[in-house]
Amino acid sequence: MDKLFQELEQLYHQGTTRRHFLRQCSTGLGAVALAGLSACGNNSKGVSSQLDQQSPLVRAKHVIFLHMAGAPSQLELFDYKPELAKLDGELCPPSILQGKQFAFIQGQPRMLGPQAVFNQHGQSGAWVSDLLPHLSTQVDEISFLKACHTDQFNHAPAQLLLHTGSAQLGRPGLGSWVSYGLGTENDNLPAYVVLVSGGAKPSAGKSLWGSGFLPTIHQGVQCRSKGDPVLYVNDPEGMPRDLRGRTIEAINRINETHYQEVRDPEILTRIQQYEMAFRMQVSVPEVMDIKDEPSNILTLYGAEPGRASFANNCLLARKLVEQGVRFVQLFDWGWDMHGNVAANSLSNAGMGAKCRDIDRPIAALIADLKQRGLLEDTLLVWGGEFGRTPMQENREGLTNPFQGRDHHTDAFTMWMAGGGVKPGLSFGSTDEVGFAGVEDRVHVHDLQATILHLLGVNHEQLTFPFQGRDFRLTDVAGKVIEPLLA
Amino acid sequence: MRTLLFFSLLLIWACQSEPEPDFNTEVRPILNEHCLSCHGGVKKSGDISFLFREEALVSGRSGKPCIVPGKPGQSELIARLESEDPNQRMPLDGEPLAKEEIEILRRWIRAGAKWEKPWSYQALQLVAPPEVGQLAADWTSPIDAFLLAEISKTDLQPKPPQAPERLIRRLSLDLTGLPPKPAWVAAYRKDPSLGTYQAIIDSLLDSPHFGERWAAPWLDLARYADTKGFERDGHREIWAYRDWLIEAFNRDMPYDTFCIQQMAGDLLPQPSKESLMATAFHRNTMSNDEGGTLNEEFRLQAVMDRVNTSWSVFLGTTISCVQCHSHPYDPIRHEEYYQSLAVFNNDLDEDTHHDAPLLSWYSPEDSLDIRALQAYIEALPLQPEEQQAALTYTDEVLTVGAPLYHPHHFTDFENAAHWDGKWLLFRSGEGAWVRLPQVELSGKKLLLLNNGPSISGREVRIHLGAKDGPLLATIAGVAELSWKHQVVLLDSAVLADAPPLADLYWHSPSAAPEGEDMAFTWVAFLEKPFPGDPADWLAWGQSIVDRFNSEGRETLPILQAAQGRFARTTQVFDRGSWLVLTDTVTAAVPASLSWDAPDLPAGRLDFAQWMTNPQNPLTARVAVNRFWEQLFGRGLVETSEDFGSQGTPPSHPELLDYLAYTFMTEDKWSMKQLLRRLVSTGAYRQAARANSLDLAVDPYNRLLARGPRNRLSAEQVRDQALAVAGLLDSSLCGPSVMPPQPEGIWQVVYNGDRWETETADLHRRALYTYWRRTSPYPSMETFDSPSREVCVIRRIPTNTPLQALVTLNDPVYLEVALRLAEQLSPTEEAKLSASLDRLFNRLLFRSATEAELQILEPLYRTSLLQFLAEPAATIAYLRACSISSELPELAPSKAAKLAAFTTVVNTVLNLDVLLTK
Repeated sequence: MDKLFQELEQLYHQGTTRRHFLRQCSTGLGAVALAGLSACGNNSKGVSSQLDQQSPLVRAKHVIFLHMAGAPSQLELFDYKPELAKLDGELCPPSILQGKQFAFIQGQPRMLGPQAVFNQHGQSGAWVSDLLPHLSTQVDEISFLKACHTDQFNHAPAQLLLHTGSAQLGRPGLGSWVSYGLGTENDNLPAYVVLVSGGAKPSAGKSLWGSGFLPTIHQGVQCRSKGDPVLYVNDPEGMPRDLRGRTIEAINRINETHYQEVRDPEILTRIQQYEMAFRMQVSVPEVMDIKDEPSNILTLYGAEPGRASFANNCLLARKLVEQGVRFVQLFDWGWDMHGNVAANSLSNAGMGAKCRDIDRPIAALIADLKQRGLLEDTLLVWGGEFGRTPMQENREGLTNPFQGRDHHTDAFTMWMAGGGVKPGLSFGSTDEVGFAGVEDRVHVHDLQATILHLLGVNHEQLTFPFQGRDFRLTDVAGKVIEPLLA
Repeated sequence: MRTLLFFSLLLIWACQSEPEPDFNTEVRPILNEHCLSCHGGVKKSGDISFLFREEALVSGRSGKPCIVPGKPGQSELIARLESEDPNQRMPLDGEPLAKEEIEILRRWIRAGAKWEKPWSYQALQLVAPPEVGQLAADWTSPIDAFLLAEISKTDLQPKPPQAPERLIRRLSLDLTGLPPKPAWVAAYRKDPSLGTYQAIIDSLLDSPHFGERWAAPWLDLARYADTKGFERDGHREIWAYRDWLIEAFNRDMPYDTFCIQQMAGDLLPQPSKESLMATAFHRNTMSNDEGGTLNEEFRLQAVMDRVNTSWSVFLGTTISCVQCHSHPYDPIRHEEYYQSLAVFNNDLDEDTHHDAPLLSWYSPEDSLDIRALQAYIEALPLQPEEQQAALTYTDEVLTVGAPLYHPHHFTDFENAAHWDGKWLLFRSGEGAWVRLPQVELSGKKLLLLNNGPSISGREVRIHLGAKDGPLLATIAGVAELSWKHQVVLLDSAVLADAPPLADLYWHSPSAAPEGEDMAFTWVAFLEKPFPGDPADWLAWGQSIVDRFNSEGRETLPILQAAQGRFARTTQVFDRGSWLVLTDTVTAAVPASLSWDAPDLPAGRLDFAQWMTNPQNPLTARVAVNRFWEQLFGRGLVETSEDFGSQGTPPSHPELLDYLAYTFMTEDKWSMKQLLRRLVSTGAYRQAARANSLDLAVDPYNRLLARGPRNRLSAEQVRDQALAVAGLLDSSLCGPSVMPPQPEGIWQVVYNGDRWETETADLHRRALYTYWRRTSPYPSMETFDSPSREVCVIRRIPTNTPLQALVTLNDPVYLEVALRLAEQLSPTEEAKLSASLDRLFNRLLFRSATEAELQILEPLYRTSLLQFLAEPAATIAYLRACSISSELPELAPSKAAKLAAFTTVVNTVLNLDVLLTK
């Protein structure tokens, strides 16, 4: 069998596989990309691996992206606005609203002061509200981007813009680009894993981790904390494990005889992928099982084996990057605090409950990565798809029964930590009521460019030819946020 | 002097003899690679572009003429390419062009700098097949001659005919998506003649499953799904379009008709129900039901998607980039995109929750009531033409309805709202008002509306022209807890004085109990179909409304052109932003693709007729290429989505043109006839065996010196498995079904829809599986089916470990293995090899080979020992393999044998030979 794989490798290196949909791209990256095409199991290098990953400037090797789907309010968490508190209940000056579009606000809404108590924390003196007491202890590891902005004020398009660089469907997500660009470090696990909590998928659904026009092996593999961690990874009940090994061996041996007859290189790939599947059957359930984690670790995260929770997902994210997974994407649904019902408001029942879901696990994730020496090459990114208005939402012109805020594109906070990010920084600022960024604004394309940069990839060079042009994650925009780099 | 003359003559001679470079193959690639990214459709640096001749002949910002035809020495282009000043030399910051490349450009300018249309824009002509001395046996068709001409330029040799069982299996899977009948294989094995082969082709083309197989890839092109997409991704009732497709393929609808029907069936004179159904093709665009979204924004997204899809599917042209700027590489201008947009921008659908306009049809019981209504009209004392008009209008309202006013048409809300993007809401407090501007009232007699309940029986009054204007109608609240269609009489006296376009003020005067809001989905105004007194009109309207309220009504979203008040003009979006509108444009086709036709497109029908006009160089080429791709795995133009200058050029340009021309003329656009031509070739019928030379010279099999060998599609992987086990439910058409899928796949926000499997749905063909865009059926997705948010021209096959896990462990495949084992499991060990032979015969129409037996027999024996040792585990395993029926009581030894053979079948079902054709 070894000889067959040498033959396969040789075919790859000659560029003589069927994967020529990459077209002979003039940059020469295509040939390198061929190796990355079997992202699972070929000890594969992505298109950029040979270019940049050796560079001493590269800090991050892994990314954990914590997306709070529904968009949390920056005004209750990180962007402290004492002036807004003073204006609480006042009618919003029409001048602010001129030319702006909101999802629900109509007419003249009233200002809404911060619904949390803020304090400064750590050496860096970062402002964090009392909704996140555990995270407050980790602020010196974190860099806050206070003046983020986006173009889209509805969930699905804004999520798409944040992850795929375009509000329209059909583009690859950030994790797919990273898988395409850098390949994987672990032959036994997918390069790009997605974990979902909060009881629902994010609004834009699986398109957020689809591979778009990139080959499908770069799509995110959703691992589930209940049921099979990867669909069909478990053999049927009662089937002995060694028997599965024998069946795969039989399949591969017969396929090999067939290969000798027809010499189709696809057969060699299939043989290899069946072996990979067999290895994944062990490695995936293993890495996805937290039962054997020590109790102090479970306590640290607030994780409970067998539950589908954000806490479990944070612990799994750590395990996955520890095992060499390149990109771990977490989505936690339920942050859309409009104030139309109590569970959807800035009250203890809404915002308070969601913050309790994430506070301890995220603080634990930072601490745990740090104590294992993983934080320096793991980039953490936290945020939502947009921000919330400083005004209280008045849906269809009526004040909502509970305190809540509408979708807002002009200002929100995201943060990054680890992986080559300067710790303890607060970058950018918003006006005195937190309506718009006034200094060091960061567009979501800039964020994408920066994430790729920290991974050693130039966002303008990581492209894929499709429909007559070279597409890239950042479309035609994006600037690396230099002051953020350690 | 004499010497000088001599040299001058020599120069002239040299000039005359130098060949003019071919623009498309020599000049354009240089321009595309080195120049167009800065001087093309996107950027026009220095005000120079090489996309169109007139933009390259001007003096740009430098003030010097860029190209002077005939005079390379005076052309700034050449000077800049050869400049030694790094600030001047083009490409700036890039490697200089090779001397040979500059020389090509110089010769091209000297010869007059003529632009040529891209190859695919050039007229189609009949190409005679080349003379190829001796045709290989079986390579007898003109197509084969084209292929052989290319093969003979290499050292490659066509392969001998494919083994009968493999050939007939390939043919059957290609034409119907299902494995062949064993009798066909036997017949062809007995008499492997072209005649037998043709008879099998005939049976396959006549099979009702032909339509199912060919509808499947078209569903990707049509971006068909059973949901609307975006956040809520709610249900959409549109399966009848899928059935229209199956029927169209089965009837062999000519491809030009097929295109026209889908693009503009509603605009044909007296369109049939089927023609209207066909237009659901373009109603598969997504719509956004998320609260707070702007209907107009997503309506426009849908319209732009129709432009992009029409150009991609029928014309192989990527036009979406032209939304923001001129095409980067192909001769299509920015404003020409909007001329195409204008073609599609005048329809009635407006991204509303209920998907209007809808085609309705009715149950047999309702049809009786409709017949009664017609009889009533026929009995009226009317002139024949009046009677006909009344019958026609009645039919129109019942089937396609009337233009609707949606909640987003209302303004000036007072104690009222456009709620959740879907409803017009009168709030419970006192004095709710809204204004409906610009209503067409001439000839209208009745108000038709769809509204929610008002338990307290609130009424809504409609005033004409002003809040204190005359009362036009009063709507009584429906005190039932359901959504209803209602009909209300308009006041004739008030109408008599109404202007043709009037503002209506809607008022809910009485206060309802707190929380009892009154909601409307839409309203419409109906004309009077016949004279008589108002009571007659009301009775007529009520009869229509009763049908609308009936359970027996089925609907399908369709296209309907907007007229009168609803008609739209189209403006260019500044750099693609719909919020910044500039010049007004009318419908047209790009100049580079027009010919001297009297009237170029004014609407969808003209556009569809322009598309299918034999003079259109793209449509037939794109179509035949797609069929070629389906059979041979790769199109003659590999980038089947892009026939432009950035796509791959055709591997066999003459063959492509021959096929396209023949398809339009001799075959009269018959898709079945085209398929018959393709599968009858020697190239298709040869063995798919590569030798070292093949792999070295032609690794991708572009020349077809060996037969095609492709993986089955996602649908075919499933259908084949069900078919070989005898499980396949072969019934045709109907609503989409939900076969078993793992728990927790559907987790869609704000949506209560559930995946619920009905017993009758277990084993239908894959194309009937319910398609939710945000959560596609998992095993199909793993085998490369797209999520169908937008049209996908080409599925790129992958080969991943996740696919292995599906065919190894998905309960569907386990059940298939068990059912086959129940039928074929050996009763005693001596019969094992016979059982394996029967298994291979069932799956691959041949006996097992010696090598296969040597691997599988020990596998069986080992499994048997393992299962005998673990009776409880054995039962558990068999149960896991029996998802759709109870496992019968089995003695332990029998259970072990069954389990062991199930394992062997599971193994065989995962062989590469099963997954490929």
